[in-house]
Amino acid sequence: MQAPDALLRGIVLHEVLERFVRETQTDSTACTKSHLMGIAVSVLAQKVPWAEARATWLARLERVSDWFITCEVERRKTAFPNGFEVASRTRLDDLDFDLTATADRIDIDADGRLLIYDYKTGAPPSRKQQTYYDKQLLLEAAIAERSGFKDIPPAEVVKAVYIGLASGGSQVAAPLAEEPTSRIWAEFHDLISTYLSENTGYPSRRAMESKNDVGDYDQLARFGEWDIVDAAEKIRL
Amino acid sequence: MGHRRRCGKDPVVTRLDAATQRQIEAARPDQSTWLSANAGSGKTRVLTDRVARLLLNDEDPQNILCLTYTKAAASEMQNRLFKRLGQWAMLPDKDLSKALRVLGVDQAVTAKHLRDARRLFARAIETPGGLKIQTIHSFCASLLRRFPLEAGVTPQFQEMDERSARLLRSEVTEVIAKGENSTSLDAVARHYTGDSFEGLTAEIVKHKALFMRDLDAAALYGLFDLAPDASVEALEQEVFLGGETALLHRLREALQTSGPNDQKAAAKLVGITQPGIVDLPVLESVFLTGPHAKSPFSAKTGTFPTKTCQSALADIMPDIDAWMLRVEAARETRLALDTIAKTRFLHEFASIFLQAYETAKSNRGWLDFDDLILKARDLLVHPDVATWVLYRLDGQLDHILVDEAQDTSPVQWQVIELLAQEFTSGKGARTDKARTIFVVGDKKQSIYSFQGADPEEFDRMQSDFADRLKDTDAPLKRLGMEFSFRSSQAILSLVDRTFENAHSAGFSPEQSHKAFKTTLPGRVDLWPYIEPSEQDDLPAWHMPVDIKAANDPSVMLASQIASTIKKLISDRHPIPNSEAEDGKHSSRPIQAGDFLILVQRRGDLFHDIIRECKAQGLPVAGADRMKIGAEIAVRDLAALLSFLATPEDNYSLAVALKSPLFGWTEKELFTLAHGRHSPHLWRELENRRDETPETHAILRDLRDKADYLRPYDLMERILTRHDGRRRLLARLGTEAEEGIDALLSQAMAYEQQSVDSLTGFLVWLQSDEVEIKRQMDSAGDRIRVMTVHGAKGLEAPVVILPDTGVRRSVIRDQIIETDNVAIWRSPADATPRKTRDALAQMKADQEAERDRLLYVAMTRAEKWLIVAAAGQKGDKGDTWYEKIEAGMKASGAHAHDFGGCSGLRLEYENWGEIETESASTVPSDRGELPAYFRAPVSAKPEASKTLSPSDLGGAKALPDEQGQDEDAAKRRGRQIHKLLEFLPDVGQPLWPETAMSLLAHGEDAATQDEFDLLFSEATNVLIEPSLEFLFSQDALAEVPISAPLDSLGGQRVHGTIDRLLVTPETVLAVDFKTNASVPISEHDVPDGLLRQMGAYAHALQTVYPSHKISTAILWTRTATLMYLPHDLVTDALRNTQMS
Repeated sequence: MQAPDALLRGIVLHEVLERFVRETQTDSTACTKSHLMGIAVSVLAQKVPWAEARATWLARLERVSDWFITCEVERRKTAFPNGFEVASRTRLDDLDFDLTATADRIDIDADGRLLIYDYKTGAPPSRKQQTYYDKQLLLEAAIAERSGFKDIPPAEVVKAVYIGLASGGSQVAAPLAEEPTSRIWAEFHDLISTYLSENTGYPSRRAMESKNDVGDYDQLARFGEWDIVDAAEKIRL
Repeated sequence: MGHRRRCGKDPVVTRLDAATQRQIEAARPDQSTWLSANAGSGKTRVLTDRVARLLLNDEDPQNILCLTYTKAAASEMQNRLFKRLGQWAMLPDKDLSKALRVLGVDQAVTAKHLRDARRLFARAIETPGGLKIQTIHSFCASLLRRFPLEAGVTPQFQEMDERSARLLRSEVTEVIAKGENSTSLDAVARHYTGDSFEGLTAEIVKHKALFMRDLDAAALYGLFDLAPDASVEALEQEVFLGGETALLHRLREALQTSGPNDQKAAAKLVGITQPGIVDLPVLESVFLTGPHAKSPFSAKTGTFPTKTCQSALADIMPDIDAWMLRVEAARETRLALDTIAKTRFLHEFASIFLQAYETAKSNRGWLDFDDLILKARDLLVHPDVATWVLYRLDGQLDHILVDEAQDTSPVQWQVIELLAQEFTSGKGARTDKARTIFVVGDKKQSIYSFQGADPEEFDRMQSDFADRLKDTDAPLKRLGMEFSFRSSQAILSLVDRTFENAHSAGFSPEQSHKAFKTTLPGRVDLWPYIEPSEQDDLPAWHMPVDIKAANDPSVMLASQIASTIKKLISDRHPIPNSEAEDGKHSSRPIQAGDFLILVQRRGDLFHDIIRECKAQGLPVAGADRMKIGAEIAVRDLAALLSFLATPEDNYSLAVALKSPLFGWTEKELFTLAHGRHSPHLWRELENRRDETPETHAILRDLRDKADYLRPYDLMERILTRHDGRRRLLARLGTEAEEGIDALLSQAMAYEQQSVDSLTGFLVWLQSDEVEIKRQMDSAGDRIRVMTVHGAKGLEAPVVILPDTGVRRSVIRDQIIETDNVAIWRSPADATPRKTRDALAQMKADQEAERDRLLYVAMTRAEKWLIVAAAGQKGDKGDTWYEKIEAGMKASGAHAHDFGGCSGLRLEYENWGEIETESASTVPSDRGELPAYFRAPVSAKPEASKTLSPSDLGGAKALPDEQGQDEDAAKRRGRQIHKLLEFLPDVGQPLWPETAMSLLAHGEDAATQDEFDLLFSEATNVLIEPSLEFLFSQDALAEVPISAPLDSLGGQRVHGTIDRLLVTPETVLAVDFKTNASVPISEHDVPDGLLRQMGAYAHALQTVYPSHKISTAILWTRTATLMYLPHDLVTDALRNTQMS
């Protein structure tokens, strides 16, 4: 018995937005609230067997829908949606290492430059979080400029934006100017090559933002038998 | 024992001081009494005393009802009472009468009193249904079970727990969402920001009384000061007179060409084409001041737009200003209308929900905790049945005692009032009896508002009862107990100073504190505040260094606490003893069990402290409450179960392998997992089973059983057969045990509710955070860390309050109750005044309760109170830290150096040096396990049979008797024995008659022919002068004896010796033998008889080790006594072949 959880809500909401943007791809006059809500009703009916969850999630989307439509119309003024859930793979040749990614959505403007969007059902990461923890969009931008994404050849990325759908909606852009993709890519190369060095271990809970954060592998790492104030123990395998 | 409050020094206090006198007065069983008792003043003792004295007054135990706040308190009180009564049963007269006098029995203590007092224990225990010391919930439940028909509940109703309630609520919500009333749910969903209806429905149930009745629209309008005809349309007409579209157009144009602030305003207005009611929020955000302005939400006339822009719009500025003022005026009405609309949706949904919920509950025969009280209340007021129920109860409740009365909720008071009404009105069924009510509480300790407690009710009820008892023979007596038997004056004076002005929280100068132990030294320390330091830069993301906990203030404080405790213990720092000798308190070295660390909630600091204490090797009792799902041992077991349910679950298997259950190392797991051939770890492990045969065997066994065993049995198999429990405890420590056991009981609980599948159990386990409470009052010699709420009723020599920093009071409730209406709260910036006022009141109440919580926290300390805080420092004077600081300064505290930083210290009396050397050590609860626990138990020896001495084998008759009718011989033996046993008791003239009647009945009744022979044989024996001594008064007849005999390999024999003669030096055992032919010498005595006599001789020797034992046979046929040599019978006994 599965329960309606945040993961499912994220998946469903992404599908609603993907379908909405696809269906209105060439016709931005179809970007209306009723169109969006219509898609939402049908996706929810398909994917979510719990009536209570359907009602709550629908109401949530409805509350943010006016805001979303307004900024969607704005977005269409400069670029057009091109890729949805597109995957990519970029290689660090000297390290024999592949980085893969899937972008929620990529738009292309009149000059052929790229705009990368990522939908967040919760709050989007803050600027500081993006510098220290959440590198997703910055790395996606780096990939887009190096290898491109499926059917989207490499091109300059002008914008990478998190679209947050919680509490009234908010957009947070990735700091592309302060942390240009060339630097991000070099730093990423550093990270991986350091990890590949024999003397670097793989400590559990390496860079948790909060000491109360839960890691997926905490139990396998026996977290609880040690604590965050303890030094890591090196084991050679 | 730990440090649960100790009230008085049992058994006897000789000096009758004021404090004790007051206790005695309060316990007087013939007076209804209302007692306000300060912390530590011994109220539980008064309560116990009062019950004891009621019993002494010959009250029937079942007519006494004592209501406590928690089940733990009920059993604690019961234990104390039984302990007291049990002591009485054993005390010598002198001590018992002293004990009774100390208790306050003032009339002369007679022998009857003492007898009665000793019987109380048995009386109390044997009361049908037991002495009624229980919580009000248990009492109400028993009431409902007694009158199910009248109460309209099923007699087999079950009390539902929190989890079942939650599942049921979500089930009901789901049914509504799917059903014909789904629109009511949709309407609520549109305004509801929660993730699921879970939180909202919980609040609806909590306030169900308010939702069960119809919402009065007019009253609602009145509540928000709205005119009855107020409406959205009317409001629109007031704000928008018609020219606004044009005004807005001009305004926006001017703004767009003006400065940056004006441009921002223009951007906000851009979406509005035809201004109307829906645009009011946007207009307000432009036209009105913000929420934090000096006068919030007022029209910015004169300041908006900027001066230059205003002059550009000079011709229409008056119109714009007027419009702005209209928007300002409309705001409150708009918010009120909004809230009313939301509230209506809520009520509509709530009434549908509650109806369905109540039906669902009653279909299942479930009642929740509130139902117990409410239905009991209804039972007692229902016009059709109340009189009958009260009549039935009236014969049974003569005395009601209420403990922790400050935490009694209004509805609970109603129940108590109704129960007491019969005898407060003086119209009870038995007016001849004195009937009393006794209420004890402390308004200052009311900290359970979240469970419905209302401290004001304590005073209201006091005057209510006083009024009602005013005109009876026994008016209500009001008493206070101000003496603390617990704390030093240092702490008590600080308490008085700290709460000097906290009248709103229930403190008053009349209830100030006095120390009973007037010379007990005391200390209060205020450590310097640990403020956050400049945050270090985080390491760059691409540097994979291990980030450890930063210099977080709460971690720093935790570490300071742990190292301070460690140093105090290793320095053998003195701590004064509670008991004084000649007014002087000696000291002993401080130890871990002396420390009680109290926090406001189980947050970061709580866990940091436990962790730091453990890290520094201090003995610390774990968290006082634990989420079993978070326990590492529970997770290990759950991982193993997950794997057993789904063998493809690689992660769970990996976790199980690395857990203590299998104890694999990182390397072992890596070797198996890395580069494996099968994607599934289990398959790989099976293929390579030879490498890890033990692990494989266990997993294979469990996999084979997983589909057949119930989850509980499966876990038992893991824990016991496969040694899991020992392995887990060996690595994780004994505290893991509680988690494991809680998990097992969850499995039991699950089996009772559902089909017991393994997968089902795992889902069930994940669907809820099951919490269990640990009893902390007997933590042994360990540091206790807990919340103030959990520490209620506890005490400790040293109390540390580390959690006294800034704490914002947040009201999380969605539903606000005001003027008996449930209002749905709006977001902060959209709350109408009425709701704001209600929220402000709630916050004020919360603040007052936090004051009381601080009072409870401070008064746990006996001698030493240490106050500390970490984090952002407050400056409003409302933190605990600031309050205590002010109190300390007012009490004359001096600066004191705490490890380089200056704090405050307050001292009373001389702390003193250690005089008595040894600390009273609490025995360690981790003793070495004796070796025999590790060795397998050997096969149980067969229980040895008890042998009869006459059945030890060997012939019992001479050869010439062989072949005689054995049954006849035995019968004859029994007949003669009977005569010889009883005839000596009567005079010789009565022998014939007595013998006749002895042999007249039963299976051994004799015929006349037989009788003559038997009678003459017995008479011959009895009149034989040489045998006279055997039948004298000194001889014992028919003596049972039982003893294990070494000569029989320790086997026990049990038999009856016909005659036993005991002198100071000798013992002679004589057995009657009725054999037809008598042996000539002792060497001809048949072996069986010798063995029997040997058994007697040896058994007697164990009873009379220093006597000389001899045995003899009295041959009745010849009336001769034959002594048997000791060696002869001993040899015969040794020859006995054990069969």
